[in-house]
Amino acid sequence: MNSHEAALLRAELLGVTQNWQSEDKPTQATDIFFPTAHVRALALDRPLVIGMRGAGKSFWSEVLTSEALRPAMSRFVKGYDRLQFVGSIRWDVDGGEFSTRLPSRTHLENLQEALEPRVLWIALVLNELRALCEAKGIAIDMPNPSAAGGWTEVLRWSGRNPDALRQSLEQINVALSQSGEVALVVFDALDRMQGQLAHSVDYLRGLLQLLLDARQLKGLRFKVFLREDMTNMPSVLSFPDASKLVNEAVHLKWTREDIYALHWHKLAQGSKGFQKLLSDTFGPPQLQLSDGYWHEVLVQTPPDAGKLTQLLKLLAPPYMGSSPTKGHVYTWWYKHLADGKDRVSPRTFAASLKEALQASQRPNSVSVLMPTGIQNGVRAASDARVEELKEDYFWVGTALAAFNDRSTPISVKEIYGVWSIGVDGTPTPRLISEQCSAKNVFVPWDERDRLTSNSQKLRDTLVELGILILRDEDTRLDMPDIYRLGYRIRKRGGVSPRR
Amino acid sequence: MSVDKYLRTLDRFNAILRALLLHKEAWTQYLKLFQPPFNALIFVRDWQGFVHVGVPGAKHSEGAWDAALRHAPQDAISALAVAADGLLFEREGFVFSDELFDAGALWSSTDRVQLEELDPLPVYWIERQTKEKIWVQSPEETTKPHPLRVTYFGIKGGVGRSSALLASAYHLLRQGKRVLVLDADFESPGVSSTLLADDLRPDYGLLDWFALDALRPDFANELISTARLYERSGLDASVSGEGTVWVAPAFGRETQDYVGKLGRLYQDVAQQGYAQRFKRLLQSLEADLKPDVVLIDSRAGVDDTAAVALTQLDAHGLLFATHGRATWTAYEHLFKHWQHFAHLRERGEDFRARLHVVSALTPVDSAYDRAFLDASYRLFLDHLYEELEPEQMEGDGFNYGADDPDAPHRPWRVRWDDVLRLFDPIQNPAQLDAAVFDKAFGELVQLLDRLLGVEGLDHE
Repeated sequence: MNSHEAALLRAELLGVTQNWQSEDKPTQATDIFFPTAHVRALALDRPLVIGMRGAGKSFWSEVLTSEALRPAMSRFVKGYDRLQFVGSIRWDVDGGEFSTRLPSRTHLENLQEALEPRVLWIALVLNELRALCEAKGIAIDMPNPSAAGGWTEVLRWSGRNPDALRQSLEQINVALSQSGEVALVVFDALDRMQGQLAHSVDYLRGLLQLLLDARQLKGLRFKVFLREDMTNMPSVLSFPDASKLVNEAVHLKWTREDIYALHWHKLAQGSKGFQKLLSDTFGPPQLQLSDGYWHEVLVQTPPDAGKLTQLLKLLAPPYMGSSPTKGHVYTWWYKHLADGKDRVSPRTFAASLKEALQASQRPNSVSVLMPTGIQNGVRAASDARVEELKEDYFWVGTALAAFNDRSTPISVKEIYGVWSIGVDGTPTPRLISEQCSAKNVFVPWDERDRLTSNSQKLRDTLVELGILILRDEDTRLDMPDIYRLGYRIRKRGGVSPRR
Repeated sequence: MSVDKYLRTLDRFNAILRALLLHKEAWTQYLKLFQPPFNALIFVRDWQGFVHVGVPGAKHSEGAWDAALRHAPQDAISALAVAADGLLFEREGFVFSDELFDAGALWSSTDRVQLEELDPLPVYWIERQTKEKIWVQSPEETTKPHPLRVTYFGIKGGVGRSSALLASAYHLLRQGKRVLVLDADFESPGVSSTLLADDLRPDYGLLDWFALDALRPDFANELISTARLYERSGLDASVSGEGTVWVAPAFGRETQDYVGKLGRLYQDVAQQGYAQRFKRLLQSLEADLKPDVVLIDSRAGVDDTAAVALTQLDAHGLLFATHGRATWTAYEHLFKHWQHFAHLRERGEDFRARLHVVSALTPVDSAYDRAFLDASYRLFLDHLYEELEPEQMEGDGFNYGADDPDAPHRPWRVRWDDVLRLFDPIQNPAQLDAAVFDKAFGELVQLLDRLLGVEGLDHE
């Protein structure tokens, strides 16, 4: 490829990336791309799915609940042909003060008598299955929230008739399993569940207990998408056999190969030049599907690292500098986008790719992507990641203010010291939990855990999110570049920088 | 207290910095009176540890001196004298450029290291560790093209460094490379004994070259051109193909008075230090044998003379270490010395970028790996990596992430294995069996391939 050809292909690819949305909501079958680890996440007998921000939780809950997209799944995942019915409890879509599908914040806060969390969840599930029950001829005594009494009446009734609720659930299960059918209920965006914040840990635990109980129900399946910090609290998992649930939980992981394959696949959808590059290198695609462009090199599982490297080398030089000791572009790029747990979210990579293409647009660029362009891409992705994080975790900036005028890695004790002084006499962890309560947002740690210091809870949450890394037997805190750059924090070094 | 002031040399160094900062304005004014390169202060620490201060101008150029230091003419200079205390050479320790025969050479010496802490005040530090005339300039630094050089360095012995070198030679031989092995561990020569059976040993060794070079430099290269300094290793026969392994041992069959020659090894000869002489020897051997790769077994220990093979030869340096406080503390001494007194160029364009840590005798244990990585990362961070500003990313300055596979601190593991107990593949070829060899040396081989620019399908 000469520099002219490179410029043409770059322009075409840039055009494709311009159409990418920041929220990647799937609308058609070509949007569905299967990373290796995600097949398991969709399996019907794996109720718990955990993923970081941007890993694809809402993407998959959207696919699962969409009548248009779900049929495409049966090609990949076993058992979907038996799916009779799919209900969903998604607080981002159906929650809210004026929605009747789920109880509102007012309902949950005004519960007259204590409602056992597990019972609340059964009531919500049963309400979702109401139409199915009618079709199967199963009578449900639970009042309908769309009736005059609304959710207030439903919740009051449920609190008094837990056994009736359980029996109804069992009846549906029997009816479904006898006919070899399955009903699925999808849970998502639990952090947006309104009200009852002080007790949200209890409600979370109640749901997980229900999942454990429901393992015996062959006709009824659940799929719960949870954020990693929500499953990291000891009290959430403090019930018998919780470890069984955790053990079979599926993590929405993206390997480095998945990330590259996904984005080359997305580029191939809109670029004839890129399709030609693929065909010239690996032969024409063997998969002939009616919709979209499917080249097996990009959609095979597991992806072939060698071929993906080969492809990148057609777009970029092999190294980030003049010699291999400066790093292979293939490994360098991913590594510099990775968080403390060596993870890269698709959105982060997309942001870096977009900017890398843009910044490689120089008259003397000999390839589609240039190392300096990729570096700029990483910078842009870092800022984008920090912005993205604010939506779920607005308080991270408050916590990391302690690192201003300091450099990482830094001793844990020093940061604890700064946190305990806090702002205007309020220690940082307390400030954060007050802000969370005020904003009606999930407090990212267990407030009732008295054995762990608040500073340590905050630290552990940041480590769990991949923003901080513990080193030297938990005495030092390090920060991956993707966050350090975005939050503008100095990096430690024994040699002072040249001015 | 009186003893401490001579021993706490870093404290003195910092006191000097403070004294200069205190009178920064006065020095700035004074130095402005001179043209480059004389618009700078030069500190020289000699081989005894005394500090000499080089000041531009004449000792009695009262006019200039007074103009710059107006109100307190002697304050700035006496503050320095107080700071340097007992380390100041003789009573005065100040040398003015006008007093020197070839001051220009000193002021533009390539050995000088700028004290960044004082920037923009131009102050340089020169470290003279050998017993040479201290005001002598070292030859201009030129890096001619040369084959890949790899130095095997250990801060402590007995960690399988020689075995690793042997394994490397075998791997390169198998790739069809021409390999030259130098046994430069003069205090404890060893690698050549395994690579060369007694009946293959050449007449003389590298130490003889140094001895001859001191007596008759014009004859020194005859040792090389007549092939009396090296021999083909017995390892050669284990592989067919283009490759070969030459070994230049520390001593030969005819070497006499090894200990006496060793005692004179590090002395300067004709104003050339050990580093320069070593480099000449290396260049002569390379010119003669035209190897693709040169492997150097270096002396072990916390010693800047030993470390010459790491810093001065334009070689890649393999730092062998096992995880333990003693090892890391010893490396820390060496790194601290480099941190303050070595030539460190912007963005790590110097020997630092060619360092690679080798985790020697590594057990199969994740906790050990983690602890090793933490220690190695910390060592480099605290002493050799550059501090990064908030907006600088790793690579903008010489700094790396802990898990960066391209970082100098990234440990390349040599596995502990029974085979390392007595690694002698010439006597015992079963040790070259792929299953055994790859388990112990797999990562080391990866590193070598990478230095050679060989691309494998491994991506780490």
